[in-house]
Amino acid sequence: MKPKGRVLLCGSVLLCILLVLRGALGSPAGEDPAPLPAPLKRMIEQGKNIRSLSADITETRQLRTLSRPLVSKGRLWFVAPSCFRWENGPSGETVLIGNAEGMFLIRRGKEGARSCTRVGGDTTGATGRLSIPGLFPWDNDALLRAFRVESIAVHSGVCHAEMTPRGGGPMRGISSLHLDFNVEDGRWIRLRIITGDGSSLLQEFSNVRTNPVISEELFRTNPITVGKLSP
Amino acid sequence: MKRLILRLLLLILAAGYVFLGLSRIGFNVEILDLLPRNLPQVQGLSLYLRNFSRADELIVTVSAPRAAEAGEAATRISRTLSGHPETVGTVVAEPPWEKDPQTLSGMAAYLLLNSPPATVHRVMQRLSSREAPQTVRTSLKEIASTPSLSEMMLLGEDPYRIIPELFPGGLPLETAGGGFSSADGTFRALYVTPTAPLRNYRETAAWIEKIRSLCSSVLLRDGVRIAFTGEPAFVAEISTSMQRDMVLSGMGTLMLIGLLFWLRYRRVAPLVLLLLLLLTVFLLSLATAGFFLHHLTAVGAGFASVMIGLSVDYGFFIHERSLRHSGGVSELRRHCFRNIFWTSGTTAAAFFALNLSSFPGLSQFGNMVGIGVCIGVAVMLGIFAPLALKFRGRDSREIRSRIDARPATARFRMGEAAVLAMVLLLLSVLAVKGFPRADFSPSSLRSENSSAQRALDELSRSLGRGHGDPLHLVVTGANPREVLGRLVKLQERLKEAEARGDLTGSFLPVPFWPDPRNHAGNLTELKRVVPDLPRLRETLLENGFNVRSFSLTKSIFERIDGWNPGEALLLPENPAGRWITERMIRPDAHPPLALGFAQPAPGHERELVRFLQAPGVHAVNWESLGRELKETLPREMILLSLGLAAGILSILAFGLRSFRAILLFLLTTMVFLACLAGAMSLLGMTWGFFNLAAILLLLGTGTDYSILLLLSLRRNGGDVPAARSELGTVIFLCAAAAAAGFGSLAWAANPGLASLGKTCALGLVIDALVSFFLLPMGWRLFFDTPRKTATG
Repeated sequence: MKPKGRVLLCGSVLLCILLVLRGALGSPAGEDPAPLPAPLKRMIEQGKNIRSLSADITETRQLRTLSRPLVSKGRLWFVAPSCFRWENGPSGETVLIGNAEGMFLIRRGKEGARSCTRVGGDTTGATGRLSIPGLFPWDNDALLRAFRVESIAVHSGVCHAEMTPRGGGPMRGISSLHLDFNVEDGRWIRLRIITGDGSSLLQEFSNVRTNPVISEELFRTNPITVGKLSP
Repeated sequence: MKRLILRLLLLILAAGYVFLGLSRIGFNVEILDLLPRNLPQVQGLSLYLRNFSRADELIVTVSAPRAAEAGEAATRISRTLSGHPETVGTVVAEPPWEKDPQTLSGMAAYLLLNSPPATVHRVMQRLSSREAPQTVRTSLKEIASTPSLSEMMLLGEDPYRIIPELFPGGLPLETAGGGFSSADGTFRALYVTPTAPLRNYRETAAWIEKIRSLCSSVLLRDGVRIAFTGEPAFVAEISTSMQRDMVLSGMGTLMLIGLLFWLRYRRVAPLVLLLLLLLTVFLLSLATAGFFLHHLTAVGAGFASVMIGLSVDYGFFIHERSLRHSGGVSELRRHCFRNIFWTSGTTAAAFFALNLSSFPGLSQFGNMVGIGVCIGVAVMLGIFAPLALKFRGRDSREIRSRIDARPATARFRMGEAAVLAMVLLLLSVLAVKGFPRADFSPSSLRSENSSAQRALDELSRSLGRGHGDPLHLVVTGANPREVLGRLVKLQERLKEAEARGDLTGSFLPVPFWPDPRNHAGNLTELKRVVPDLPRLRETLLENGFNVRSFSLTKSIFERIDGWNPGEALLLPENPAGRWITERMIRPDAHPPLALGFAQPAPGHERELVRFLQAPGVHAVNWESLGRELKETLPREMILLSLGLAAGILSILAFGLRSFRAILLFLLTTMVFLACLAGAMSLLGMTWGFFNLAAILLLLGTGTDYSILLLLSLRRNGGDVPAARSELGTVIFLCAAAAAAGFGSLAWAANPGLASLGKTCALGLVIDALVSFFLLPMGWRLFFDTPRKTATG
């Protein structure tokens, strides 16, 4: 394994919302028998009709070591069952691609040169493993396997769910998740991840399009493409 | 009076001898100590276990259906154990560096000083007034964009990117020899050490009981399971089971022997005496062994029942003779000695021949039984013979055995037919099913019923990488410098192997191994940063970080500043430093050692082991050990058996002086060995590391029956009923006693010993039946003697 990949994976909780449930679906059977709260269950059911998706993401990272929050914009593309592309930065400074060959991290270095590192070998079942609940077709009980729902409240058509990870492996380091989604269509509005030391990451979704036609080129790593939405 | 004093003195001396000998005996639970030390895999694994598997570290495993429950249980147990400092020294329930990342600063300072000058140069450049702002801005940019939470957090704490520079092969902490949680969090491991050192297995067992009781006092949810493994758990479990095996199999054998004796003779006094003497033989043998070997292995512990089962043969023989003896004690002794000498001599020789095996476990077993047999002969002739004669004198009842009369009856022929049918059946099974399956997997050395082993297997499954057993890379050398050189070379070979697709991942503790050549130069260079710390702090504050982000950098350089030139560079004495030292490097050991690992690509294990093996480099795991043993053991056992068979044939050639008799002996032996193989196939038994030695032991002990019958047939002019009548009782009692001795090992905790016991017991029964019923039939065919008419 390449050093960079090791650093990325070591004790990893992939921050990207695409990967936030990665470990959860790897967990064995025999999970919480308590039923999922109705709004969350509905959101998951709605997501099953999605074959492809694109969205804009605004990320706000607030670390206890930073003097002010960092805000960045990015984009997300997904095609069922297992292709995805996540870009961060106005010109895609950091790109994470998942395809049949694995998971790749592409970074823009000095003078625009890009480096591509394989960071995972398996995207099988990426529909569930990498999806955003409500937006993508999703594995039924994955959410419950990964998180305990601490509270759920609905105000003005928006559902706010507070969840805590069930612990261990990739979820280590995360203290809680706060998810807001539209009750009517199940689409995500924002997700806030709070870490053990009080740092946080807020992801806000906009311009969400479901079932658009997305070029396969976006999920190729060679040649490295700059993300663009097909008409 | 003088005689009484002499006897008392002898008794006191014997008691002192037994006490001294027994006090020197301990238990050795190491599986590897049973195996040939000349095998590279055994050497490498021994080095690994001796140096990197902590003898006092108990692993408490917690598993639950849900991760939250496992985590909660682990926390509760950790708190409870920590609350008992009189019993528990340390409890580590999570990686020490995660609990307090600041402990990493001491290690980072060490690693920086230990790095190659090029690494220090790169770090210095990043910290220079020219590059520092750019380094910080890059870190900030990556914090904003990385998809990895751990990278984001690390860069926040280490914006000058010193830590990633120190681990060019990736962060090693996850692979530092022991995990704490499975990927899904449903399995947890806690590492517990005692307050005071554990001096022996009894203390270890008592300490584990205390830990078990403390863990039981923790209120746990339903479905949460706790198990114990690690070296102390194995020591306690195997030692107590060895003790139990020895006592239970020995007692079981004694009881069976007592039953046989009672069925045959119906006399209480000689029976009690015989049993007492057998116990004496056992104690004397164990005490004698204590003077030349200090640790009894799991296989050696099985000697008791076998030795009792064999020694009693001489008691039976003496008692049988005493019943018909009309002379004095000296005559009885002389007469018995002539017969016993040959049988005990060949038996002891067969067991001592196990010393020729490269398996120390078998050698020890052979020595113990061999000594026991010799002591048994001495005790039986010296003490039992005169007392047996005394008992005979007091009791004038006639002793008749049903066995004595049976060989002369027509119904006895039914026995011949039945044994013939059994032989044909077993040979047919052998022809159809083939030889018993060979099982040389290392798991056959470990107990299936061991709870510590089950917990260890679950630990490996839950915390392992799920791609098979990784190769442990143990690197040694004459001195630390040589080890470092070998580590660097090995690193190159690992890269080559990875490029060839032979491995999927590897780790070597090169950054941790002390390299004194770098220390002085690095220290001078890095100390130059200390005056610049205020500037570095300002750079962070000017570029979006706050003062907390400077904490790690400051701490690293303050530690470096505290080092004096010429001072020995040691890993920090904090929990994280100790954790790594204990699991990866041993520069102060003799010889110094380092431990890495390589994950072979599926199907490339053998090639990778061959490719990585080099002087001072051991690429080892249990699978490779199994392969190595499978290649060496059968060859060795066959050679040993052939040697012993040649010896026996030479003795027979001298004793029988008849080619046809020797041919008949050979045929009988081959038939019983083939029947044994057929019976094993039928019963689903396998050939393994230890029961291969059964061939050797059966050649040494089991062939006695056919030899005795051949001698008797010759003595009686080919009169089969007369020969059978003469030997029926003796063969029945001896075979039953020896089979009981070996058979009682079938319940031994060590599967190798159990398989040896079962195979020998089965072999002895088959051998006795074939020799007693079929050999005389062969005699008639070979020697064309007239069949005597059966009477009755």
